[in-house]
Amino acid sequence: MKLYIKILCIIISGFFCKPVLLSGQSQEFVVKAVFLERFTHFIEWPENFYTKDSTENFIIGIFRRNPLHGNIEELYKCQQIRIKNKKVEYKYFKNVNELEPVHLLLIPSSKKLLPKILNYTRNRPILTISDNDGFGAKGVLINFFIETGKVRFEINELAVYETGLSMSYLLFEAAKIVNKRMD
Amino acid sequence: MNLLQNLSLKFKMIAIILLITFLVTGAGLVFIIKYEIETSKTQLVNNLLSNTNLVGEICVSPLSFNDHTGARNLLLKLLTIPEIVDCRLYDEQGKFFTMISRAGKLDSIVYPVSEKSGEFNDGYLHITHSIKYNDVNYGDIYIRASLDKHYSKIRNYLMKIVFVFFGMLIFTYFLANKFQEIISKPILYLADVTKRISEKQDYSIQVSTKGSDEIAVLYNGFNNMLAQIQIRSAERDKAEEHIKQDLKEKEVMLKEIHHRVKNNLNIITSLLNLQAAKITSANDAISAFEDSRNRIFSMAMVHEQLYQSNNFSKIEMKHYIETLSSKLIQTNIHNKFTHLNIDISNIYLNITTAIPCGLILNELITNAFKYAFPDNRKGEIWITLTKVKKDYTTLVVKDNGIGLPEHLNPETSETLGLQLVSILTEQLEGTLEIERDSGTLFRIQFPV
Repeated sequence: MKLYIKILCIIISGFFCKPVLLSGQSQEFVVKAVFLERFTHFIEWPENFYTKDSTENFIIGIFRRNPLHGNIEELYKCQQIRIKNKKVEYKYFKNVNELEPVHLLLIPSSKKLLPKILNYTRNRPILTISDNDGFGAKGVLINFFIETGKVRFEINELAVYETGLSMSYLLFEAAKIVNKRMD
Repeated sequence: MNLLQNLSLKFKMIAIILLITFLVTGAGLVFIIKYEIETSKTQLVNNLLSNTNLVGEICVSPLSFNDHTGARNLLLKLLTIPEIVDCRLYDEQGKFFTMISRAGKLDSIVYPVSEKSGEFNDGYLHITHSIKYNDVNYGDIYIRASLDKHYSKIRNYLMKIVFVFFGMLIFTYFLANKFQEIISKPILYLADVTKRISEKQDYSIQVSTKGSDEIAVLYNGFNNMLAQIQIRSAERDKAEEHIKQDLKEKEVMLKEIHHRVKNNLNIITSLLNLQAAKITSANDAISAFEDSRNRIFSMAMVHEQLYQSNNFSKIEMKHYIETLSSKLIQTNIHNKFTHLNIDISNIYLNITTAIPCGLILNELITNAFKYAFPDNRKGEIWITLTKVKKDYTTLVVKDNGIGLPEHLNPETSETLGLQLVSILTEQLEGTLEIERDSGTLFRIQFPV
């Protein structure tokens, strides 16, 4: 209920903020955007990995086209959302070669690019998020999917373990687990 | 307390022990019951609270990602605890999120703000817990637990306690009944002995003492008291016997005195008759009066000494004869140059013997004064009274005067004095001997 109210508030405030930008954004995008922020509640990043900027800002990397089909930058800016009590900074990548350490990387829906991107993110504490069927099993840490009309997400447990990110069991509780880690 | 007073010592002790056991054990058990109930309540609260905390913490995920099904699945885990009736989940703004109920009814979605965490109310335990993760509040979890099982457990516990309590009382009764004898038996024995003494009035009964405790001290004291009572009782009996004897003596004496008064008056009458027959002149009359006075005085002195002494039946003869002689010396005009020598043993005579004896002495001393020392002749008179045999006493009156004429025989004499000596000697059932050697000696021996 709380989430719905928050989403509703975001939508309403969004209209007041930038009606033109938000008008094309779906409710599903907003839910996913809120989930995105929520994920960060349950994940801890190592401090010595990132650039200087990362100590002051939370960096979200967007590779080519945002898979969530919405302007997340405008939404967070309008809502003055801070992640991990840090200002959110966005970095945009068009090629795999341009990739650099970020906290969170939104993976595009291209199946060709996926292995290359994952090749970069593997063994790096980068939270990869996608919105494509089967991407979770292929190595993206969190992948959205729709189940009975509701937004849900899956977590690749093995991949999470390899990144070195510290992910709370509570997040696993809420998610569908793929590639379970076999200890 | 009045009820206890009428009970025997044995039951009194048992009753007191049972009462003390009841109070002390009862108080102890009440304390234990209260403690156990509080502990049980605390345990129940802690158990439910820890489970609620655990599930509440996991509920962070469904609350974060709006997962009602996931939330219900988590809450279902709480229903594995039999006491929990229903669980409700509220979001961070206090709005109802989801709930599960053992009855299957979603009967309330109102946030129970009035329920304090851990409060026992309406037969339920209400627990509310804030769901937090990394200091961020995600909502609240509320559970309602039935207390039926808790109360049933307490009832069972109480039943056991009551059973144990009454078991202890019964056991205490048997122990008290057995061991009260240590105290009550000696006291009951003492009471029994006291009763026997009281019934039989036999103070020679003693209680047998064992050990050296307070009971033994009591027994010894009791025995000592009995001994004292016995001694005093014997003394009292003796005194009573003495008083009775004394009284009897007095009664006899009183009769005797009346008898003697009568006899004495008879004697006086007889003496006066004898003297009256011999009076021929005025001088004879005067002399007769003087003689009669001395005779009556000698008789009176016996009575005087009797009532002045403590003993009304015996006369101490030494004192009597000394007093009588002294009086005769004072009253007799013929004794100016006569000296009396009295040698008397410590002899006591009864009144029957003492009066004749006194009269005899009166006659012999008066005769000696009158006739033994004529012409103002100096002389001496010896009086001795001695016990010669076991039951015989000898009275000797001797003078160193001119001596009794040879022809004069007391039995045949016409003089009244000697006649009296003879008659009184006979009355004493004694013998009279006269010696005429350097004076006159009268020896009268009589039984006592």
